[in-house]
Amino acid sequence: MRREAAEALAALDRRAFLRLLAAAAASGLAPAGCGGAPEAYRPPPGLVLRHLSPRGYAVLRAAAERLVGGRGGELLRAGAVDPAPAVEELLASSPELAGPLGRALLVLELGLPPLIFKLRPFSALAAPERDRVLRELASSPWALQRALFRGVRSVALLGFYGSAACQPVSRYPGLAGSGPADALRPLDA
Amino acid sequence: MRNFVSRRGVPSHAGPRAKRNFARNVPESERLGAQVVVIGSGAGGAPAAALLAEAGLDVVLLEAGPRVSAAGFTDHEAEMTARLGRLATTADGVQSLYAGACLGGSTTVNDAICWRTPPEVLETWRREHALPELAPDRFAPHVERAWRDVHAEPTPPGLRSRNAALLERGAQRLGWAGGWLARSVRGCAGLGRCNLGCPLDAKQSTLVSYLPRAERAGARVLADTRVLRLRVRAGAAAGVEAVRLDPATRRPRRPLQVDAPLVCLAAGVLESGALLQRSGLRRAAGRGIQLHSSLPVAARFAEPVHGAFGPTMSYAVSQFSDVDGHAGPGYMLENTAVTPLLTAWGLPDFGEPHAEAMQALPFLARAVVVLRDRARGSARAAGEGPARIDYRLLPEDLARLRDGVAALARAYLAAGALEVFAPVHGLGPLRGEADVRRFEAPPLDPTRLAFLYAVHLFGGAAMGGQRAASFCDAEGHSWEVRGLYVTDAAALPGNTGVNPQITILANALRIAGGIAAREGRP
Repeated sequence: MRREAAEALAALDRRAFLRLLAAAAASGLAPAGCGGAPEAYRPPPGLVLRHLSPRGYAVLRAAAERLVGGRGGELLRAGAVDPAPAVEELLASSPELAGPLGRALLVLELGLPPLIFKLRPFSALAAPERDRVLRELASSPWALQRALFRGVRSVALLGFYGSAACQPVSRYPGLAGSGPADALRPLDA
Repeated sequence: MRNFVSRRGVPSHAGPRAKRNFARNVPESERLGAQVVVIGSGAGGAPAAALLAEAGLDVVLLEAGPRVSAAGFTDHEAEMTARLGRLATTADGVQSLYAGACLGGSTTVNDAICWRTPPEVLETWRREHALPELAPDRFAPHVERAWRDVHAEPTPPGLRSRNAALLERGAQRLGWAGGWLARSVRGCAGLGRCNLGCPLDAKQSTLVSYLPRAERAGARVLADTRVLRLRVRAGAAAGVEAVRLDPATRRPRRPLQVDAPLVCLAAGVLESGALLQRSGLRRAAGRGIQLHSSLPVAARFAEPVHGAFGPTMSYAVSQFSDVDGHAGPGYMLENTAVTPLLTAWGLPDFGEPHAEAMQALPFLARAVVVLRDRARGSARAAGEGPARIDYRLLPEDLARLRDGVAALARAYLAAGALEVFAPVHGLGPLRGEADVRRFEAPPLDPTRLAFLYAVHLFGGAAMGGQRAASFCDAEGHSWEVRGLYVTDAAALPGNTGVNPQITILANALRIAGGIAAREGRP
């Protein structure tokens, strides 16, 4: 694994990155279950996941509450909103995204020094530590880290803002609103 | 899928094998015969199916996506995005690509914008691609026919949203050219749901325009049916091998073979070129793809905008375009919907600053820079799966996108915006000219953008007057395979600089008209 990492990082292009991921998976760093993830983020009993792994589910929830932030983040943390159904639906219609997303969540969770350095799984980190990891990814000088941030951010936002649950937070009244009349009122002169 | 079709492309359901499959509880295959099989039901497929069925030809139309209707359209963006479309990314992961993937194709989820094909674009295609049939005067009748068919009409004053009017106000204060756009609607109520499927059937997508015409004329329309490859015998089209999908799981259910001597390919740019490659037709297939790369900008105002409602798009600043008489750098600025998910994707950063901006949703206006890219890319079939799209913006494209975002920021600030959110992580809100200058000083890094995307896709099986440089001739007829026509945006030699719905419809009508004249009922 170390030799693979050293070789891949020597020329960190897309191919090298993928090889690194494969090596991580092959060396047992990719557990199928959810061990290590806090209880709060584990899939609730009865939830059927067809595209996300249980571990991926936990990472998605841990990331989504920090990425969405504010009142939406609180709802996600409390479990009042689950981002997974919307993401599962997207992956069902665009299955080609499932592999890259699964790998991205895995790398975010387990880290891959020096791409991501942390001592504990992402889902087990305190909120400020998760924010730090996400900030480092977003502003990283490495395009691959920024790509990872973009991918996870996109699905996390989809999981929350794509669902009706976001309506009270975004003040989007949805079907129940009188929106069209307000929207078509002429601007003040 | 390999259970159904052998590697050599021979349908495994033929002869005794079918009985063996049946004995193993594999569903028996279907086999249909027709004169024409149309692949795809969007702006390229549905008009062709309607015209050919009305000409007396026996037509089967196959659509990979589900059959949908107004009653099933909700305002839940994630659900509709997944159910009605297909989200992909370029191979480098930088750009998102979205296309309709349901009955009606992208016309089910587009903004209903109608724009006549700019004469400069047609003239370029005529001159550079040796396509005299696409000269402005010869193409115009097809455009006018499409215009009538989908009931294109200018956005009336009663449907001019505050969201769009703020862009107009900014443009007017800066002295920029712009105007209200024509839309293909009948009875639009301004629900703001064009991109999620119109629940009133007001939008004249092919769901309510050409597909009913096709079915009335006898065409058989099969949704949930994915074409795996074209069947070619002795250099001539012989039909397609397809698979019926389970509507609930989207998994293959049973194979279908359609025998037909005429094939109209209109599977969309994400699929058409790859399908040709999977069928062994590699020459020029998948090459020359071009996009309208797009970047959204949001602006917060003191007064409510309620931009989630009203027509999703209806006003464009044409000052910077390079078509319709303009000699600008080549981008349009068009207002766009302020629905939660699209807005969240386009706003930069995450956590508290992002949540704070989202809480101001009713006070946000949004618009998008729609670039006429100069880059070109390619699609490559990856086994039976989706195509790999290789596409990288040129430095000059990125420079023009940056200029477009700066122009939108200036327009919104001129209209009275308190702050403007450019889609760049770590930039912070733009609150005045100094901030805009700070934004436009460095080059734009596409990997630091919140949401770079394209919904206008072109090429991959383009027409051309020279066999060596194109997939099909000016009639959309494959140079390689007799009876194979390309009728969707994949046939277009390049991007249009304007929303392409009318161009795609018109070209499909033109090509189908030619087929009908040769093959239809006298």
